[in-house]
Amino acid sequence: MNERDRERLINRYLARLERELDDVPREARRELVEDVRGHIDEAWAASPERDQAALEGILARLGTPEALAREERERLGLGAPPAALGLLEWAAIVLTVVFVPIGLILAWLSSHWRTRDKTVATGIALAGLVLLCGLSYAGQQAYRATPAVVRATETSDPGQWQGLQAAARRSLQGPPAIAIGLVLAGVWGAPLGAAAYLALRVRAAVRRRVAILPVVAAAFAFLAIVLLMLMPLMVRP
Amino acid sequence: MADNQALLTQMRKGAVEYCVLALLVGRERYGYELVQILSQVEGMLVSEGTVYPILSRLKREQLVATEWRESSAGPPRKYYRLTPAGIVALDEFRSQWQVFARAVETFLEQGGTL
Repeated sequence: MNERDRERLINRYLARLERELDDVPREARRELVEDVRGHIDEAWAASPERDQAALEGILARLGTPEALAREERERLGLGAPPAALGLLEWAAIVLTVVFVPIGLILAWLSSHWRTRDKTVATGIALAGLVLLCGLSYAGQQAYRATPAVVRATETSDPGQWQGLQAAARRSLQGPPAIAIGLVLAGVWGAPLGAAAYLALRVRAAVRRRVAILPVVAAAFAFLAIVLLMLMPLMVRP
Repeated sequence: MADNQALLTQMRKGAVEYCVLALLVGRERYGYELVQILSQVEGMLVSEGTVYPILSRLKREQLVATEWRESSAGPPRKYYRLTPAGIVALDEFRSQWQVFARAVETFLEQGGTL
């Protein structure tokens, strides 16, 4: 058995172990993986046979990664790993994308996420809120700074209104349009970020990939909406 | 009998920690060496890997201390040795275990005749 095949088999075992230890404190996880790696190397060095069956035997005698993780959790006094994702957790992830406050309330109601994870997700969403407030304030200031003459053109005179629109379009071409796109992405990115974070902190490794799917789908939908909104502005009149 | 099995598992889990401490009396050993000895005795380990969470726990509770040492062949080894607290814990367990084991044996062997 060559070294590459051996490493691949060992790394697959260790990766499974790490995944199973996902909710164990990092220091404990690192130590167990290191100890198990040391054991495998010692056992391999002592093994009279050098084929794949010998290595598989070493890994089998170690026990399954699941069994080791269970033992570690027990010795740490951590209890059973969190249950699989329920309706509450799915609703929290999906609603965080659609309407942040409700989604986050559901996330806080769930015992699936650790307090730290919930706090970070809420922080991401709040950062979006702060961004939004900052932008509307900046917009207000810019409006106030606009000469009264220009503001006076906001009349019901259709001719003038069209002229103003055309001017707005011109000023929004190129870099400004991209800037607006970035800002919109930032504002909408916050709920998406919060939802993505919740999905990534799901404490069942297999489920994490599935949990991120609605978030990715929503990200694409939002991107499409942003592009559709900006399209008329970017096209020359 | 499922409950019975769970009870035996719990008893074994509790006792293995002290068997590990006992193996370190008067000498240092590295992890793989401990596993080799423990796995030779029938009924001691569920699987070899379960020794490492036990060692981590003993270290966390400061009943053992660790030290990395170069080995004559291969990578450095993590050696475990008893701390003073570990010696005390082992002595306490030993005296209580002997009293308890004798009591259980008495009843198991002569229960009906007492």
